[in-house]
Parts: sequence; C-alpha cells; structure tokens
Amino acid sequence: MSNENDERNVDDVAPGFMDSATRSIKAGIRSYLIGLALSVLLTALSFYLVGAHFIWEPGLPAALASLAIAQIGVHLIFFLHITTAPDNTNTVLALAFGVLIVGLIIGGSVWIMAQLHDRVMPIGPLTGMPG
Amino acid sequence: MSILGKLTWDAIPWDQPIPLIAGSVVIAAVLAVVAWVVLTGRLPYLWREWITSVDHKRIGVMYCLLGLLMLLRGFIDAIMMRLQQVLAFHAPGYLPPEHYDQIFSAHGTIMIFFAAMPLVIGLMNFAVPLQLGVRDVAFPTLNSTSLWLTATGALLVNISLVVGEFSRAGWLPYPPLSEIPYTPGVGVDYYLWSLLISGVGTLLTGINFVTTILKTRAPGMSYLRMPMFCWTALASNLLIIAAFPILTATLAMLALDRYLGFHFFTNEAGGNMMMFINLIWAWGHPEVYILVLPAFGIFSEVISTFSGKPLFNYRSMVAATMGICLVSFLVWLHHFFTMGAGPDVNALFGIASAVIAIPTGVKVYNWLFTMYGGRIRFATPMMWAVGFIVTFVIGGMTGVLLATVPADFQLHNSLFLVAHFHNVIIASVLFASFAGLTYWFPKAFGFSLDEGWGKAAFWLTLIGFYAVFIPLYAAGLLGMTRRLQHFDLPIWQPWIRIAAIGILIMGVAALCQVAQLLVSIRRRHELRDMTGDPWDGRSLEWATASPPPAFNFAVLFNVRGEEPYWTIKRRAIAAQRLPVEPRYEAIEMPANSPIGFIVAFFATITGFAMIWHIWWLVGVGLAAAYVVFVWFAWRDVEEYRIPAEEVARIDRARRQARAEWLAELSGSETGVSGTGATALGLDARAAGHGADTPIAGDVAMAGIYATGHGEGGPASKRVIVGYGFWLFLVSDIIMFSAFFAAHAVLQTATAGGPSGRELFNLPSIALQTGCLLASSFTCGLSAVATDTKSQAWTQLSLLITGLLGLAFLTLEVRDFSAMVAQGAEPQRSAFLSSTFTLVGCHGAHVSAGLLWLATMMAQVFVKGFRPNILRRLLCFNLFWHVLDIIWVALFTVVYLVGVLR
Repeated sequence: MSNENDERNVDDVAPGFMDSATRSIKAGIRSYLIGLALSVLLTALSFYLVGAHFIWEPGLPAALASLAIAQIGVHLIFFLHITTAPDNTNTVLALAFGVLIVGLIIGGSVWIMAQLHDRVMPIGPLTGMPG
Repeated sequence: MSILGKLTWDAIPWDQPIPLIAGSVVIAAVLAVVAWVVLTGRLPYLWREWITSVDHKRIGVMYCLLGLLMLLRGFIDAIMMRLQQVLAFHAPGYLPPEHYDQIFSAHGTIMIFFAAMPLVIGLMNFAVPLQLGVRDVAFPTLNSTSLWLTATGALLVNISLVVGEFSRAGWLPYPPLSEIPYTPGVGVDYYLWSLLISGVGTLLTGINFVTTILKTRAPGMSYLRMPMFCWTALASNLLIIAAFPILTATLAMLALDRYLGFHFFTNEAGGNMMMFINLIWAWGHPEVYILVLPAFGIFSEVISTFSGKPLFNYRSMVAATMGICLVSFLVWLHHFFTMGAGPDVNALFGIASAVIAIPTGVKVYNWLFTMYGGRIRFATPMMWAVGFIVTFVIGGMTGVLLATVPADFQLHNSLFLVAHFHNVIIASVLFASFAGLTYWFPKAFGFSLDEGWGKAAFWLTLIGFYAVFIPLYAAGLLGMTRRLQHFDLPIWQPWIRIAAIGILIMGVAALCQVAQLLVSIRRRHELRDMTGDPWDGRSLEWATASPPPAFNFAVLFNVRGEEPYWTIKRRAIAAQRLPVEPRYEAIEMPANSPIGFIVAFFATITGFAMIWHIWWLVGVGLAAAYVVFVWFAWRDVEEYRIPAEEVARIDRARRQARAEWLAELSGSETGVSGTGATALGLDARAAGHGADTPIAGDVAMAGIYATGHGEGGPASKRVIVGYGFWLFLVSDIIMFSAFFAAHAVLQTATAGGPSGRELFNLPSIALQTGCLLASSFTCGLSAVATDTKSQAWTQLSLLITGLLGLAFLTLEVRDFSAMVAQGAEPQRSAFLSSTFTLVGCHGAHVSAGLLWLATMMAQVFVKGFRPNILRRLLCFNLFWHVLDIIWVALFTVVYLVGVLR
C-alpha cells in the first residue's frame, strides 16, 4: 500500500483538492468567498425573475435553467475546485460521463413519455392532464 | 397489527408440496453443511480466512461459488418450466398458474442478479488486480461488503421459497400488475428488497473497480497496456455506476407506491405505469452490457492465450469496448417498441440498437484474426470460446432482426424473443463464466480442472443449448407467446417437446460440471500447477505463483509494454535465467474485517422486516447499521505488515519452481533442436544471449521490477479515496436524475389536486437556499482550517455548517407539514408523490450528512488530524458541496419552474 503522505504522482490529485499553488489560507478563503458571492447573486437573480415581469414569460424556464447551470458551474469551480488541468482529467471525465447519462435519462424519458402522452394516454379528467 | 407484522404461520405454504419439499431439502442441506463445519472445528477457519476476508481473490472465489449455487437454483426453475409446458398441452400440467408465475419470475431474477452478476463480478474480483499487477482492489473492506450484500439479496429471494411467496409479476415487475391492488401479497416486496439491497452491493463494486483500474495499476501500466479483460471490466463497472442508481430509484418509487400509497406508476391519481417501463429499461439494457462486456474480455484473454498470439488489433478492441459502453445507453426503448411511441423515437432507438452490432462485429473479427495463423490449443476454455463465437453470432443476428421495428411488432413478447436473449446471454455470459472458471481455476487453487469432464460438459451444454432454443425460435415464429402456463395449439407441441429433451441434455452437462469439480479435487496432485503458468499465459496474473500469496506480487513489476508477462517470460527463456532477485521489503496489506458480514446481517434483518411490515425490527436494523458505521469509522488498525523475510521466503519458493521449469525447458529443447530459444520461435539475436553470457542476460532482465522512483504506479490513498467518493457522488447524481425524470413527466399530473403555484412558499425556499449556500461556504472554510491543522477553527466551521444544515431541514419540514395540513399529501396525486420524493430524497441526504458530520466532529476531537480522518473530511466536503449542486437544480426545476404553471 502506498504511503499516506506520498504525493508522488504529481499528475494526479484528489477531487476537491486545491493544488499547492493556491493552497495558502488566504487564497483558499478567497475562493470560497467568491463562490459564495456569485452563487448568492445567481440565486437571487433566479428568485427575482420569477416574481418580476422582467423577461418574456415563455422564455422564463430557459432563463432559469441557464442561471441554474451557471450556478452549478460556480459551485464546481469555487467550491469543488474542478479545473481543466491534466491532474483533474479523470475527475472531469467521470463528471462528464455522469452528466451525459443524466442528460440521456432525463432528455430521453421526457421525449419518450411526451410521445406516449400524445399518442396513448387517455385524454380528459381521468389523469388531469391537459388534452 | 401484530408484533410480527404480516408474518403468520400461514406464510409457509403447507398445502403446496413442491415448494415445501424443495424448501425442506434445501434447509436440511444447509443445516447439514453448517453442522459439518461446526463439528469438524472448521468454523474459526471459515470465519477468519473466508467470511471476514478482504482479499480480492477469496472474495472472487466466494462470488463465483454464490453464482454457481444460484445458477443451479435458476436452472432447476428452468427445468420445471420446460416440464410444465410439455405436460400442459390440453392439460393443466403439474404447476398451478400462481406457482408457475413465481417460477418464471424467480428464474429471471435469480439468473440475472444472483447467477450471472456474481459470476462476472467474481471473475473480475479474482483476475483484475492480478492483471493490473497490484496487490488488492482500491477498497478491500468495501469489496467484502459488496459480496455480503449480494448474498443478502440471494438469501431473501430463496427465503421466499418457504416463507410467503415470490413475485408473480415477471423478472421486471411491470406495474400496474405489481401494484398493491393487483398483487397484494409479499412476493413483489421480496423482489424489491432483495434487489434494493444487492443493488447497493453492486454499485459499490462498480465504484471499487473503476477506482482500482483508473488509480491503482502497476508502475508503467498505461491505459493502452492493460489486458483486454481490464478494459472490459472498466467499461462494465462504468455502466454499473451509471445504471444501477436508476434501478435503485425506480424500485424505490415502486416501493413507495406499494408501502405508502404514492402514485408514481398506479392507475389512479395521475400515475404513469409506462414511466416504470421506461426507467427500468434505462437500467435494464446497460445491464446486458454490464454482463456481456466482461464476457468479451474473458474470451479475448482465452483466445489470445490458446492461439499463442497477441490479441489481434488490440486498439480497435479497446475502441469497440468503449463504443459499446456508450451506445448501450442509447437503446433502451427497443424493449418497448410496441408501447406506442412515434416513428421518430422508435427509429432512433432501432437504429442505435442495430448500430451496436458494428463494434460487436469488430470484436468477432478480431477474435477470428487472433486465431488465424495461431497455434491453437483446444483446451476447455478455448472450446467454450469457439462455441461462443458461433452461437453468439446467431443470437446477435436475431438481435439485429428484433431491432427492426416492424419485425419487433410481430415478434414482441413471443418465444422468439425469449430464444434471442437466451441465445446471447447464455452464449456470452454463461460460456464465458465457464471459460473463465476453467482458465483461472489453476491460478486460484493451484491445480487445473479435469479436461475430459470439462470437454464433455462443453459439448453437452452446446448441443443441449441448440436443442432447447432453436425450437423456441421456431415456436415463437409460429406465434407462441412467452410465459404460457398451458396451451392448446398442436403445431407448437413438437417444438416444446424437443426443447424439453434439450434441457435434459443441459442437465447432464450440469452433472458433468459437478463431476469435473469432484474428479479434479480427487486428482489434484496429478493436476498440480507447479510454475504458476499452466496455460503459457501472457498477462501478469501468470507471473505469480498458483495460488498467489496474499500480497500477489512480492515486488511490483515495472511494465514496459503490452503483454508484460509474455515479454518477461521470453526474455527469461532467451537469457536462460530468471531476473536478478529483487530486494524484498515488508508489505502492508489490509486487515480482515467482519464489517461486510455484519452489515449484510443487519441488511437481511431490515429487508425481511420491511417485506413483512415488522416496523420495530426495521428500526432495530437501521439503528444497528448506524452503530456499525460508527464502530467501523472508529477502528485504528486497518493494515497488517508482512515482514520482508516472509515475503522473501514465499517469493524464493516461487523462483525456485520457475528456475526448475526454465532448466527443464532449456534442457529438453536444446536436446532436440540445438538452441531452445529458436525452437520457441525467438529470433536468433535474442537466442544468442545464452547461459554462457550472463552479463547480457542481466542487461536483458534489468528494469523488470519497479524501484519506486518516478514510474507512476498506484496513486496515494488520498487520491484513491477522493476519487472513489467522487464516483459515488456521480452515481448519486444519476440516481437523482431518475427522480428528476419522474418529476418532469408527472409534474402536470395533479389529478385535480393543488399545483405548485398554489402550494410553494417561495420566500421560505429562498431562505432554505440561503442556509445551504452559507453552509457550503462554511464547509469550505473547514477545509481551509483543516489544512492549517487548527482544531478550533475546524470544529467551529463544521459546527456552523451543521447548524445551517439543521436550519435548512427544519424549514423544509415545516413547509411540507404545512402542505400536508392543506390536504396536499403525497398520496393525493402523482405530481405530489414525485415532488415529495425528489425533495425528500435530498432532505434524507442532508439528514445523513448531519449524522455523518456529528460523528466526524467527535472523531476529529478525539483523534486529531490523522490521515484517515483527513480523507474523510475531504469526502464530507465533496458530499456537502454536491448536495448544494443538486439543490440548485432542485429549487429551479421544482419550485421556480413549478410556480410558473
């Protein structure tokens, strides 16, 4: 078994682990502070948009989705310290694989079920679905 | 409600002789084995060396044993079904419908989950770390837990034979049949809990093996130097991580329907049973490739070894494997073409299903070209491989036929389909398991299996297989549907009779397998594998002794190309000497642990209590699980040390055997044809380095072992743990995505009840979000504090994180209590069921996080910043930040978009 403190594999870090260049206390706190500020900002914007008639109504879900994706990005970068550096390759690949599967499951399910809904579901008060 | 829930004496089928007698025989056999073990004093040995073992080789052997036992059980079910159909022409047969339905449900469930999966996972367990040239998997104790959780699932299914009943709803319990109104008994509950529990075990295996393969390989073993079986294991375990969370989520939704009256898949209140079929196959089709890819890997190893050639076009094989891995997630709809989707959906999934034949075809040609021009030895594993190629191609072609949507409309649900998937799964998974078992048996036990009985088993299985399933193809084309308890149409009868004869032949083949094992054990001294390389192998598992020592390799190899062992062996033969004895060092190995067995024990109790609604026992089981978790987290000694002298003693014995073999080889070969090396096909230049030029030999053999400087090799423990946990989080996100998908489909199904616009309290949601974001920030600060090794700051920031999490939970519970008070309980509509479940799942994660946090704060306080505690802090950080990410998706989709409707 390998040594506890052995960081021999320089091209390999644990996920969520800041590399030595930014490991100083100040830099660490700064990263989390930026993350907090940005995520609070994006969250506030999302909640604001729902109440205010600021965006064209039908475009609202897309706007909210974009804000959510942006915020997830902020969390990944400033809280989880995911980078594009080579030492992060496996971490990012695992995440990308997960995102692909998530997209296939949700996208595929919605597509398939929407078709089934249009074609085979009974219409009317039985399901409460709009005909 | 009585203290034993629904469990009464009537649960035992006193009036049904078949399960009663079968159950009694099994119980008697189990008791006899237990009595024999205890009376002969073998229990301590069994406990110490096997049950608590975390050695990947022993865990692999136990997985295979479980798989073989369950294979026998599932095969008996198969015989019963064939017998029933033979007898049930214009007659009721000997199995009443409710029993017959249980048999075919149990057959499918057992064969996939408890025969095929354990066999494949067992072989991966045994061979992958050896092939990678390392000493164990990434998480040895977790590995043992996976094994015992799988065993729990198998045990629960088998308990259903005598206590209560098994599911009658098929191997995938399609609603609404599997819902309470149509199947009120415990059968489906047995199915649900055995799979929910064993599914956790399988997921942990997936995480363990992906981490092992990506993070712990021998020095110098780059991705493109890994043996093919490791590549296929990687693809298969990636699919486990991607697919099993979907299964867990889907079965959890069905369980909520059945236990709490939710409406995910019901007929009432907006439930959508087609969503179950959609989700279960989003797991189900990748599952096929989880089984079949390692089978391809085994055949690649076997065909290359017994053809005496490197695998033809290795890189295209890697590409084909990963291609199948990806495309396998794009074909699930072909299991329900007939459900009513439009031509565009059906066409896309049909084409994707046909496309998967292309990388598979690449593989078939690669195997053929590996054999072409090779010096093929038809040992038993190779027989299975050749039988596989021929049989699998037939199954594959009927698969492409079924991928054609109009053809599928005719053949759907017929025996043609049954014949097709048995054709592919038996030819690949079963044949590969037998090939793999025969191939690696000498490595595991130190002696080979008897070839005569092995070949008899092969030929009888092959003939029996065709005799069973070709007639089923024919009967299917004649319109016979699957799962018929009796039938009246005379044109099907001859085919059903031939199939019955076929299964008798397969039964004789099964007896041959048993005989093979018994005869081989009797003849073990003649069949002994002295050198550790009985098949003239090419990958690293053959470099060590048979059976391998606990530490696998005394010194890790420094891999410098594909087929590292083949290179080492050739060089040793050319130089007519072994590599210089390496410098032995003490080796630390993971200590055995009963944790896996104990966890599984409580999982069995909890599962059984859930099935029979014995709620107090569920509480006991869950509390015990938490106690075990804390107890395990508190242990100090994780490893034991094998001293260098012991390592040297063991390895010198291996070297002695190798040296004798080498001397024998060069002696005999030199006598026949001058230089042994040329006889073995080496080029003249290599052969020139004879025994008389030891210096040249030393040069040729230098650098075989890793020196531990700058050659890569297994990553540090922190990286391994962090990466493994990251994979777990990815799987968790995928599980959430199944709940998100259900919510997306069901969000409009309010069934006349309240919608999100009337229910959601956005200011409170904003406050909850604020709490979580702030807690993520303080959690981050705790990581900084940990870096500075400041106990006070770490504890303070963790405490604030916990309090913020608690505030979040309190607000959330308050909101949901208010909703229930307004009459918007989850039983009201499918929309509310999915909302409560999705948000509740996140809330359950936060609650679990808080328990974990409290435990860890105590640990940091008592033990300080030890490396293992630092690793856990890292994992907790990842967990907490990912919960935040899920919440961002959740508040947007559920609440913000929810109030727009």
